[in-house]
Amino acid sequence: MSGKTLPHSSAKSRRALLKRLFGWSVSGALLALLYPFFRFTRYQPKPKPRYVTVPGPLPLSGYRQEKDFILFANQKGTHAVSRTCTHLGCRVNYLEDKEYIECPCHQSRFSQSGERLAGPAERNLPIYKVEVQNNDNGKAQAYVVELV
Amino acid sequence: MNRFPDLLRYVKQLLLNNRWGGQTLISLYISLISGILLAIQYDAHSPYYSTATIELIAPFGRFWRALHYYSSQAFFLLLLGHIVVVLWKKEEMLPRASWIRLCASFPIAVLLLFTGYVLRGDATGEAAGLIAENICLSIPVVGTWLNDLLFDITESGVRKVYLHHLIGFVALGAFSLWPHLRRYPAFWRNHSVLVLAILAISVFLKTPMEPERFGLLHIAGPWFFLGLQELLRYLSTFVAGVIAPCIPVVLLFFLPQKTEKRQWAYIFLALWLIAYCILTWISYQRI
Repeated sequence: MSGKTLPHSSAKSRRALLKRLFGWSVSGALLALLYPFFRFTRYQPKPKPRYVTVPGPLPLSGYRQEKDFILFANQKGTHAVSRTCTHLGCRVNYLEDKEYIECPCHQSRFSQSGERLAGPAERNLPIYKVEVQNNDNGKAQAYVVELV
Repeated sequence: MNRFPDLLRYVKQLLLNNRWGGQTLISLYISLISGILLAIQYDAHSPYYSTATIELIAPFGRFWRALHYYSSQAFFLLLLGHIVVVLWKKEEMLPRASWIRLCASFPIAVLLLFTGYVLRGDATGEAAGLIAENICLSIPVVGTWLNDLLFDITESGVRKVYLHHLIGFVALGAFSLWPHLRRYPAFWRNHSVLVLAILAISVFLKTPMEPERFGLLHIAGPWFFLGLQELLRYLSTFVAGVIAPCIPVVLLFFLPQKTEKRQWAYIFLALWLIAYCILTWISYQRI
């Protein structure tokens, strides 16, 4: 037996140790990859501010339904209510004859000012700022709704 | 006198001996091929516009869309039949890890079918997508991340949903089914009747599509989603949208090996299914 060769069991345990070290480093590398993975997938670019111009004046009914909001302009004032239901995000509709807003998915109801009246939704509908642009005669020419 | 029991026995034998697995796979193949064709025309930037273009303007668009829709429906229904018959026959179970890997194909199939509805971009699809997003967000701790990964419809439109419908879920499904498919291949020549039936249905039946319009006071989700939609009225989003649909999947994943315990799992599965059917019926009454 030459002095340079290692005993069999010692070589075996060294191999086992190396194998284990390799296994741990692979797991470590995978775990380390989770960080850039989460950071990348969770990144949200800031949405551009959106301004939607609705030409005025509104019809006599005093409201107009757009894709993302319902604009009300009457004697009480001008405001825009989000059309995204606070229950599960479906697009709500204004029911003119009943004078309330209703969700087609689970029939949550809201008042014209977005207050929750009934149904599974728990929060009020968000309200958006509206800038009224008047013409020289003081009549509304356009409504600019700021969506945030 | 004995005609009725004989007939029942005959139907039972017919159901048990039907090649459910092969039929499921062939429908899936048709769905995949027609899906790739549709993707050539589909544009995720304007989902509704491009679906309408395929349906109304593109030559043979209506046929390819119908083929994709009906083959996918056939795939899902046949898959349900396949699972029921396999459980009924009490065939030998796989080792747990392989079993879970295989059964994972079922929720993936549901997600594939569901994302298909969302991609239509019509009133039903849009509402279904937004509901799915909110269900995802209701999951504690990982909900936001999961939504960013899977749906994120409010911020990204249907871009991510399309990606997963086309690649993500398909790759996951292929991974989960791979050992099973290598063991049980399906041959087209054995399923010519099914192929002809799907082709004929696609030629003659219209594929559903619902535009957004005034006076749309009630939106009913996809037929398999109706029970969930009803449950979401009564319970919190997390319980109705996550816990309830996970029950049968978890039961299937951890189906006990021993016959006696397995009977209990079957009873729970059956009860869940009956409850879901009742909810679906209630929801259907509202349409």
